[in-house]
Amino acid sequence: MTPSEDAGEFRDLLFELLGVLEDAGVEYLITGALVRNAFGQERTTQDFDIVVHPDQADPEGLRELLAPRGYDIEGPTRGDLGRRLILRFPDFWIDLWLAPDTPLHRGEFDRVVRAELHGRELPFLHPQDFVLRKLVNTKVRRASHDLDDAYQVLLFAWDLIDTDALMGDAALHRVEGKAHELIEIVRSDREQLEHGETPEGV
Amino acid sequence: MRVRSAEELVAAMPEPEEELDLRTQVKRPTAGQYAHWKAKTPGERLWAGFKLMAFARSFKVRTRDSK
Repeated sequence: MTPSEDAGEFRDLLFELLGVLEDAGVEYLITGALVRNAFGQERTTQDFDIVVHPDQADPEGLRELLAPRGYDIEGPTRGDLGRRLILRFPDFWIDLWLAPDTPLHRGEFDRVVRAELHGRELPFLHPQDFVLRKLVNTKVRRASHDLDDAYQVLLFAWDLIDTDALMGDAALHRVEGKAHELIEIVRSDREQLEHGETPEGV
Repeated sequence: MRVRSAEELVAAMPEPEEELDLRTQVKRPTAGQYAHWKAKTPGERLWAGFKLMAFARSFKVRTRDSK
């Protein structure tokens, strides 16, 4: 099997699940590493993260939808970042996050950004919301990739992000110090990179 | 007593003291890497990510099988 065929397996796995959700009228958005990969420099991952709209985040309903289609479902389980169903595959899993009914989560669905992969339009968590979430994640867990994810997406999706609004949201979540530092680093790096210069220390 | 939501609890948590320069915790690109990635569409970047995942998986399988 060539790397492209193997990569196609991951894509097909994603498209198949999204197709099931869409056919059932379930509203969702894509988050996690796939947002970073769509809007930043890529990294590998062992899972995909899909968020189900608060109005449809019913674990029993989702289980009834997915189990007859052969999905190996675990949960719902509650972790540091919320409640989810886990769809298991060999060496891989998909987290189906059950969005709680809050203005923050509803707002994220109002701001989705769409991007196309191989003829299919996909809804992603907005890069600005992604950066905020990653900064908040650093308060509740020690995952080495959270800050890097935030940096990459802020750097490459800079034009899509309102840094003043991001700072306002960061203050509400008590991560304004980190947000300010990250924005200043990205601003400085970007200024040099846009002029074809490698930033000092890289 | 009112039960606070997870978000309220997270918002109430103090921001941890930052002991390290954030620059050392992120992968800052060179000018060449930046230009390379900047030129790609989101779909091209996603596909590159899938290929990287496929490579990582094949490497993991090879490493495991060779043990």
